[in-house]
Amino acid sequence: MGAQFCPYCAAERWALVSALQRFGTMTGYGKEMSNDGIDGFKPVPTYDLRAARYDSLYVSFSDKEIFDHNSKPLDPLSSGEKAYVNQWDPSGGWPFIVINGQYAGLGPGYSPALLQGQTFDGVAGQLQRGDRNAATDAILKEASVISAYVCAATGGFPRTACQG
Amino acid sequence: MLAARRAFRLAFAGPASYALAVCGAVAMLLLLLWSGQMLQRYPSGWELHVELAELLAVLVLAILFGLLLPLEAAALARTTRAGGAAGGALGALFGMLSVSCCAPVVVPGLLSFAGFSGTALLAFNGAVRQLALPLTCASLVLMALSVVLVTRGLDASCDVKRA
Repeated sequence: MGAQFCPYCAAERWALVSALQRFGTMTGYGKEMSNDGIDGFKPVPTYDLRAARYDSLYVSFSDKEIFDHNSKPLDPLSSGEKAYVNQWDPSGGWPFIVINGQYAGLGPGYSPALLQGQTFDGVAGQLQRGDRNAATDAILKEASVISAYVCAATGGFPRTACQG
Repeated sequence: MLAARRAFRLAFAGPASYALAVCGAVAMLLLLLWSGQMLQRYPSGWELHVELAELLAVLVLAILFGLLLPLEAAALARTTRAGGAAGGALGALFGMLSVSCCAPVVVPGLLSFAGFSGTALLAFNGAVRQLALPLTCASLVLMALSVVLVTRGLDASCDVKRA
């Protein structure tokens, strides 16, 4: 769960998608930017996951953007999602991730400053090429944390994603 | 103007008052920066990110709060000025509300403690974001107003003592 204007959510989506791609295939996503100037951050490139399709034998995925770029309400939460927010996110913050109702994470795992001012294609290219820099290291480290929780939830499947 | 000067002279009579003012201003500055997520700890270390307008508002609020504390302490030593204290607290509260982005800390934490649900606070946090400018203005006005109120009260108490 995130918000379109939010630079922290924009940063966290890179790690989230990177983690999910270890368990399945993400298609149909768009390219997005967080709002300029929020908490002093320049626009942070990110995925638009609202229309994305995620295919996996092990994991299902739902993305909710609760506010748009103008802080207007966007995606309503289901009753199950509301229950997770009430249980795990009592102060109503975002970005917020719940994994299988067992694990929850609030806030970004790294600073949006690492990605601000870059383009979506630039960051995606660095990740695809396996470039090593502060941004890709932070994304992959956070992706590994998310993956570890997903693996714990799936009982260690698939082995290709959960071993090593 | 003369009354204000008299009240400030009374409140800032010794080094302890200056220390109180500086400590109060610094504490308020840190609280506002932290509660507004402008000062954050990441695995890579502490980072400060803030818009210029936000920074100016936060600095002015912190300075006003620093001025308010010795004035309030001096006023309390003479008489109770509940109006000034309430104005200062409201100014700080509105300040914390106005500088929040995505997971503001202090006010939603307090509301959560008071029994508000996470989903209710999601909507609250979104609404607060849309009201950031008026809330910032209100917090500055309230804090300035509380300084003026306490200054007047303090000066008035001097007149009573003199009489």
